[in-house]
Amino acid sequence: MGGREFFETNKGNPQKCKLLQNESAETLAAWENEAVSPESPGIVDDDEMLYQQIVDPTHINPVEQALMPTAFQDSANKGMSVNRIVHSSLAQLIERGSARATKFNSENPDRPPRTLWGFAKFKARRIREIFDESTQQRAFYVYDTANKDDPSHADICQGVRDVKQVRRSVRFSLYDLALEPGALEKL
Amino acid sequence: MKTISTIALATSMAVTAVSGSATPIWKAPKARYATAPDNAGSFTPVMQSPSTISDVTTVAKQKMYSEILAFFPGDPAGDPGIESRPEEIVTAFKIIRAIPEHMPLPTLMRDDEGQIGMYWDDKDLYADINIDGESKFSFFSRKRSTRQEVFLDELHPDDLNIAWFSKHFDTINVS
Repeated sequence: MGGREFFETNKGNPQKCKLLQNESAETLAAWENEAVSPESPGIVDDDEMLYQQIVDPTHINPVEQALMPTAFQDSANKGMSVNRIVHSSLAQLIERGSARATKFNSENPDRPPRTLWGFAKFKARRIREIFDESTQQRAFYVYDTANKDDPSHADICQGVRDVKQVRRSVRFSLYDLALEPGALEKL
Repeated sequence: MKTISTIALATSMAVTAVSGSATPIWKAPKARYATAPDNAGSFTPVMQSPSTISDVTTVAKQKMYSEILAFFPGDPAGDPGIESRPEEIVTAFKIIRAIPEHMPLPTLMRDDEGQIGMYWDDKDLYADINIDGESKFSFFSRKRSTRQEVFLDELHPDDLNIAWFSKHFDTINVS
């Protein structure tokens, strides 16, 4: 199975990153070098900037107003959605993120209202350079999972096997990267 | 709707929270509410300044207890779209209660599946706790300066005491 077949087969699968963890590190890295979506504008270059929507209160503690490490939890299972700014624009991402929050609020009037807090910005290379401390294996892979509505969409998936210690360690690494100066953009 | 057992559990936790003696401090509020009789003889809230570290830290813990209580299914202050297991909520409560005086309090977190956690983030030391089931939790920490990691699994709230916190939070004042 190639990368495109894997991502086409598992489109929408909330456990797709867990399935990826069954593949070898060589295979996961090779799939980064093929366009895994037919709508993809091309593979994700190391120097591309990736924008993750940060949503209040989903990713922000409502009392402390602090970024929570759980903001990066999706990378272990369904994939952490990011947008490639080179194939979008900040205005477009703000519009999309705000519309998404508005839709959620109108469909879930009994739940705490969500707002687009801002973005965590990562260079793809920095994500790909994260290694798990305990296994010394590469932690994350970045795939060009574009779709018709959002050609700038990409997924960050944890590729190292998801045992408790590993998950916490690599989640911290993403969190720490997001805390670097300039990485968080609050609207 | 809350079950009777859940209400009883929450009430029990609230009473314990009020009478608990553990008293940490970090992001403590500058003032607290107390009750005092008004002219009609009923009790109304009045603002008081905390006079001791114990007072301040008790107030800070009370805020955390309120946050945790809101995790109970059906709590009006909670999120009805996220369900946490009552047993795990109680475990989180016990962990907060065990944090010793002078120790910074963590920030609570909860994911979409309802799993409860908490984390501390000092300049050098990051540490977090995940509740993994009834009376079970795991601990992770990393020192940024040395990249040294600690991971402990299958912990129980009864394992927590000043010595435990001093050992694992040695860059933070736990005395």
